[in-house]
Amino acid sequence: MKDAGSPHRSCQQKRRQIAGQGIHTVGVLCGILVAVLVIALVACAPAATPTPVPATEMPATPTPTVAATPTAIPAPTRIVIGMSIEDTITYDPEVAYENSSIPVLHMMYDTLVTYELGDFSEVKPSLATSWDISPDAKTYTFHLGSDVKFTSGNPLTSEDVRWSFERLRNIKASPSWLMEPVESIEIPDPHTVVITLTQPDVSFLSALAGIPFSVVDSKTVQAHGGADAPDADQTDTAREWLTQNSAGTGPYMLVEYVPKDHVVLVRNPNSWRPPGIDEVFIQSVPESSAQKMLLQRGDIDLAMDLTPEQVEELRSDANIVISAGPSLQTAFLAWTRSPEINEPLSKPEVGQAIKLAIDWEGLQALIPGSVQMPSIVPVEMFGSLPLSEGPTTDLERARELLAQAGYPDGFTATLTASATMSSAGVRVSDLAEKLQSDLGRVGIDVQLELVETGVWVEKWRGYQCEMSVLVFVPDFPDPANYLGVFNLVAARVQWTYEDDLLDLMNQAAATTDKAEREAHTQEALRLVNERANFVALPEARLFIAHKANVKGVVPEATYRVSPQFLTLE
Amino acid sequence: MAVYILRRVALVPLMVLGITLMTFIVSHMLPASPESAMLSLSALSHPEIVSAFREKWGLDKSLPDQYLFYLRNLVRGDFGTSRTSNRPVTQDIKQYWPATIELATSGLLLSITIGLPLGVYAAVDRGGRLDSAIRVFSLLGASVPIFWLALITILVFYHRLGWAPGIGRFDPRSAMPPTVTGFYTIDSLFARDLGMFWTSLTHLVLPSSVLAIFQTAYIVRITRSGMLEVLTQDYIRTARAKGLRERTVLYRHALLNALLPLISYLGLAYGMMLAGTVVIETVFAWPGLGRYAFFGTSRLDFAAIMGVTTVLAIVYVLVNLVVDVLQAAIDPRIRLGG
Repeated sequence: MKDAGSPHRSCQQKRRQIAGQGIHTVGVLCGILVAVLVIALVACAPAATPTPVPATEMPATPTPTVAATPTAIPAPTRIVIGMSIEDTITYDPEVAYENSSIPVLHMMYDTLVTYELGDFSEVKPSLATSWDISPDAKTYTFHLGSDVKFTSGNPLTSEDVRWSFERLRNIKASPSWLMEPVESIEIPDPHTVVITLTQPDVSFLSALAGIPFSVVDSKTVQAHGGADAPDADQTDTAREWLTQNSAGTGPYMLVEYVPKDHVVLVRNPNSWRPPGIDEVFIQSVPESSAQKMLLQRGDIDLAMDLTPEQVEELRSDANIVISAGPSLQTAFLAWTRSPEINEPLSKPEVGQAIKLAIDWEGLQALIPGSVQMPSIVPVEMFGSLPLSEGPTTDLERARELLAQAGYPDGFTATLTASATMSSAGVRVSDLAEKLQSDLGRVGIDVQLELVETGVWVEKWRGYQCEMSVLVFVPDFPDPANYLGVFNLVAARVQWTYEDDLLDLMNQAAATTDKAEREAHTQEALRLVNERANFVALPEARLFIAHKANVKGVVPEATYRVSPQFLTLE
Repeated sequence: MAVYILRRVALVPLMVLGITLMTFIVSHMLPASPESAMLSLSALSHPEIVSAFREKWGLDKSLPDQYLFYLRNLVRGDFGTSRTSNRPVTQDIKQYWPATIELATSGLLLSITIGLPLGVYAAVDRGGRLDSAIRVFSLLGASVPIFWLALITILVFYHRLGWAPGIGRFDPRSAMPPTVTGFYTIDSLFARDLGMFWTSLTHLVLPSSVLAIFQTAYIVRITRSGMLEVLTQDYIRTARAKGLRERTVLYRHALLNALLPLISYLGLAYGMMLAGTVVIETVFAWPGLGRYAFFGTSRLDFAAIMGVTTVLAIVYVLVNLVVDVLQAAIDPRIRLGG
């Protein structure tokens, strides 16, 4: 506010006048201020008076003040999990395919076979107690356990399996393509399911362990509008019901879901493997730093989404235990092979130089706890190459290769990536910046183009990226999934798998002999290492931080943690 | 005045038409497509999944057809189905908006309670030490990044001191009030449960304080400058010359006149609080409209975006109508409908 000339003086006079009446005015205003403060304090009293302890301040012993089921005489035990459920769209197991819905669905549904407690080396029985695979790896026969019941009390039959899988195929949602290898499903009796594939594929067993192949109670879901016919994408109306209810055989059942707020699951009364804790309460906490503080205050028992950095800060806390396991989450750097999009990048020598120019140790430090990737398949998985075959850093050699390719002074390339995506708590943009500075050391001038995820996907799908960083989480933990999906990734950067590589993949898929399959897989991965115009960045580690009284926590990649194995002390 | 109010309300449908059309055009100009925002990369390479998706959500129709279809449903009060929640947008909004209104209202009340007296005091003490302190506070309040402020508030008042609950609308370890209105504070009173009322009130403290700090800063500045302008007017000198008590001069003669710009700002501020709380809602895990709209935007969920925009616009118009009526009531010189 500018006062000019005389008004200025008069203004000052006025101010002096007011100041003259100062004591009086100040007194009145102080009174008002005090009154306001009192009102404000009444409005937010606990901020000033910590004496009345609200429920949140209670020590987090598993003795809930209020029982959700008033009839239960020993108070039910409840675990409170802090987690981001921001991207959850539905809890319909045959439609959902989001990071945050999979761990929750894992509590409600079972699959025919499963991977247990983070062990990705072997598929274990679940609803199917045993199975036979025909020597040509085309026909799978599953024998269901008896006495398995759904939450409704309906017994599990082979018809439920058939119906669920047909619904998965015909609802034509994000995970529906997983049914593509299946030619037919026969049910000779209520306890036998025979699945025939269009071509040999031993990795199908691994796919069956995934959440989309959850078996739902066909009678109950049909009663709520579910359909398995070929036009299910138009006629099925069960999604909404399945988002608020569950119809599975899993240890828990869904009783309440308030989007972006919380999820309540209670013990499935008919569970064939009862969990140790009666109730699971998932509190939506989108911000991971808030999850950390809630855990330290004891308001949540377990935090699902802490970043590696936040985990480091918790190490000194005696009341908190950190469990770590493989995340199977990996970022990849890919670059084009098309001379029209970027001529230097299309040269094979330049590709070799890029792999040698990356500071692999520095990258590992950037993703705390991460493990080097020996190929596109993480080291924990069946068929993986030994760590020693992973990429190395050699700047001299990189410069030589660039000179050989005709670019002794380097060149310019644009790296397009999502500004918001992250891989196991590490932002893709941070990785992109690191790669930019690494490649800059050998003269490759990388321009970053960080955009909204949707915009990036569109450019990537349109085969237009010069360089890009993408995040990959396997659809099922088998090398066949990696090799298959990276055939699609390769197409985005103008590489097509050569016939010898495809032959190796087909041979690996067609053999039921484990050693032979491993040999073919490793051979294929070596070819990819040699030829690919993409390279895997270190695999992030999955950390689950929880209170010391929570026992049995084993981080399990996409499921994160299986509450049926947890107990509270 | 009744005519004026009626005319303003009658303009709402026209405005909704304009808003939906604008939102529709803007969201379709983005260089991204709904299927790539919603489907996994593997699913995108399967044409039958992509075409089923486009058909299910009416994306196979031409853009004008899509818009007309939307309008036809809107007339029947149907905002369409949200792709990111698989349920009607009306149901989504019904769930999220009490949380947002509860937060914005308590935030606004808090900022008025604090900002108004501070503004008056700063004007009276112009150039004084307290004035400087208040001005520094209001400058800080307006310029501090809200994300940082929210995290620091949780860190200090929840994590370190434990004075108030950190996040969420309610305590995960206790039973929630049965839903009547969706406003937890009101529902817990309906349930005649003071404990629940207390819990829901304490959960409001930190998020509404952060929201309030930002707005308080503006309210202080507007009150201060309004008061300064009024205090130089002749009628104030006349009032003083008549020998009126300073309190009467300040609050009856000066503040009442200085309130006019403030009230019109409050209308704007309330609108800003309703729509602009995404950051606070995210940090405090507050399940409100802001987060819903933000996620909807990132997934190109047009029905959700247009539904939220329309509802907020209507609230905004109504709030501003109230503001206009209030101004006319305070200042007899303003004639509505004239």
